[in-house]
Amino acid sequence: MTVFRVEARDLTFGYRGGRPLFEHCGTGVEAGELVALTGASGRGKSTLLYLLGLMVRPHGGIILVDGVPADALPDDRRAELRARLLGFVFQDALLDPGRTVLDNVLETALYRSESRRVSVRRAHELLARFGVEQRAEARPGQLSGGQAQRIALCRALMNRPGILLADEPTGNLDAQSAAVVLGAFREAAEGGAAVLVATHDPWLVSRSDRVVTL
Amino acid sequence: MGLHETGGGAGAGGWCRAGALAREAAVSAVTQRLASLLTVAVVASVCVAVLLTAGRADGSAHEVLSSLDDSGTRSIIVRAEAGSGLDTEVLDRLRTLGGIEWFGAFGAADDVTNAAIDGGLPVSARLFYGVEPVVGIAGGDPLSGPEGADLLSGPEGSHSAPGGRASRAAAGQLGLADGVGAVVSRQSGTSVDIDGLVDLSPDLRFLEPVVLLPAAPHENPAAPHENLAASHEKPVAALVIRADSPQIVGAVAAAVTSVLGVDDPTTVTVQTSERLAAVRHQVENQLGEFGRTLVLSTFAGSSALVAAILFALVMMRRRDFGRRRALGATRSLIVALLLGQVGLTAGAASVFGTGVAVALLALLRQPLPPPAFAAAVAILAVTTSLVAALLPAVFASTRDPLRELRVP
Repeated sequence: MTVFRVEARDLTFGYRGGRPLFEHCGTGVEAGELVALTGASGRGKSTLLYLLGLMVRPHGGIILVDGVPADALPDDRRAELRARLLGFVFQDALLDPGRTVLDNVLETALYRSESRRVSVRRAHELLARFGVEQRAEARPGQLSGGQAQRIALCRALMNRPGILLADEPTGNLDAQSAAVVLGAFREAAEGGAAVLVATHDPWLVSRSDRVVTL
Repeated sequence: MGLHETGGGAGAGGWCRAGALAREAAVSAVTQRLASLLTVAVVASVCVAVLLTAGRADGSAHEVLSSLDDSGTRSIIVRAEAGSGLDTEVLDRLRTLGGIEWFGAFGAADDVTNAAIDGGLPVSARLFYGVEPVVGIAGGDPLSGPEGADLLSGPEGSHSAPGGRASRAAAGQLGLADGVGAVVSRQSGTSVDIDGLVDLSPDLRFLEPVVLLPAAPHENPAAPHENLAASHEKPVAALVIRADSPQIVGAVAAAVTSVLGVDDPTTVTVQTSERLAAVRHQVENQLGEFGRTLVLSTFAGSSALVAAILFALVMMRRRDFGRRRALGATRSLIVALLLGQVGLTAGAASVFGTGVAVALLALLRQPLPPPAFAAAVAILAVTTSLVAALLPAVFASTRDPLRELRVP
C-alpha cells in the first residue's frame, strides 16, 4: 500500500484586511498517524485544514504532499488530487439536502470518473459499516446529527483516502457517535492514511497519536 | 497509488463520464425544482410567443409567396402571330441557355368537338412540344414520350394510337366526364383519342380550356430520342419558359427574346412575370425582416431572464458549489454540470413550447410555421439558454471552498 504524508513548510497566510494567521509556520502529518489539531477559536485550525487540503493556496511557503509541492499545481490538478487522494469531513456534515443519503455518499465518484456500479457497492459497504445502511434512500433532513456525520464520514472514505482531514467532526455528536467517528479515524490511520483532526474535544485529543496546538 | 500517478480516468471511459455527468445534471434539474420550473416557463413561453407571432407570420408569408408563385412569378410567355416564323427550332436554341428550369412550345389552336356528340361545344386543341413533366396527369400516364402523331393534320382520318389529354375545363366542355373519349377536328375532320385528364400548371392556364396533343418524337426537338434528321420546323404559337428563380426572370426573358429567330419582332409578344417577381422579392424581404427582428429581440429577452434565474440559483447554492469544489470537482466539471442542467431543462421546455404553439395554431386554424422554422426556434431557444447560462456557470465554478464553507 502506498502511504502519504502531508506537510506545510514556512507557511504564511492571512485573510484580506486582517492580521496574518500564520507566518513562516510548519507542520505535517505522517502516514499512519492520527494527529489532533487544537487551539483557541480563530487561531486558524480550519484554515490550516483547507490549506493542507489544497483548497486554497498559501500566501507564502509550500504544501508538500508525498514530498511534491502540491500547492503550486494547476487548479484542475489540485481538484483531481482532492477527489482521488484526500478525504474531508466538514464541521456540519454538509450534505446535499436534495439528494438521498446514497447519492450524497456517491458524490465524489463523479469527480473521480469512477464507475457507478463499483461505487454503489463500496457506498453500501460503508453505510453498513457505520450502521446507517437502512437510511440509504432517506434525505439528509430526515437524519439525526450523528447519522449525518456518519454519512459525511462514508463520503470521505469512499476513495480510501491517503490523507483524511476532519474539521470538528465530533462537535455536535453524542458519545456513541463520537466513538464511531474516532474508530473510523483510527482504522484509516492503521490502514496507512495520514489523519489530521481539528477539534476542541478533549476526549478525541486524548486518543490521538500527537497533538498540534495553534 | 503515488501522487504522480493520480492522473487518468480510473478505468471509466469518456462515455461513462458523460453519462454520469448527464445523470447528475438531470438529478440536479429535478432536485432544484424552482429554478428548473422557472427556466421551463421562460423557454417554453419564448417558444410559444415566437411561434405564435413570427412563426405564424412566416407561415403567412409562405402562403403569400406560394400564391404569388402560383401566379407564375418565374414564367415567360411568348405568343407568336401566325406566319411570324417562330418554329420548333427555337427549342434547340433554348436548350443552350442557362437559368431555365423548363420550357415547352404549343402549336396553333384548332377547334375540336366531342366525336360522339354532333354539334358539341368546340374546344381548342394544340400540339405540345416538350418532354419534361410540366403538367400532372389525372388518372393517366405521363404526358411525355407518346407515340401519337400530329393527329389534326395527319394524312389519315382516324387514329387509335395514344392521343391527347384534356384539361378539366376542356373535358367538361366536351362532355368527357372521365377525360376519355375522342374528339374530331372541325377543320380537317380528323379524330383523335383522348386518353385522360391533365392538370395544367399555373403558368399554362392561359391556354384553358385546351386539349393537348403531344407531338410525335420525330417532330419534337425537345424529346430525348429525337430524330435529328426529321424536320423541326413546326410552327409555334405559344412558348412558355420557366426560369430557375423569380430574380432572374428579366435576364432570362432578354436571352429568350434574342434566340426566338423571328424576322419581324412585332409579330411576337413576350410577357414576363418580372414585376410580380419584384413584388415577391419585396414581400419576402419585408416579412423576413419583421420575423428576424421579432425572434432576435424575444430571444435576447429570454436569455437575460435565464441568466438571471441561473445567477440567483448559483447565489443561493454557493455552499453547494463550494462543497463540490472542496470534494474534488474541477471548474470545467461544474460548468459542464450547470450547462447540462440548463440544456436538459431548456430542451424539454422548447419541445413542450413548440408543441403547445403548433397545437394552438392548428386549433385556431392559423397558418402553421414550416417545420424547419419550428425546429430552428427550438434549437435557438436551447442555444441561447446555454449561452445565457455560461456566465453564471463560470461564476459557480470559481466559488472558493474556504470562503463558502468555513464556519467563522
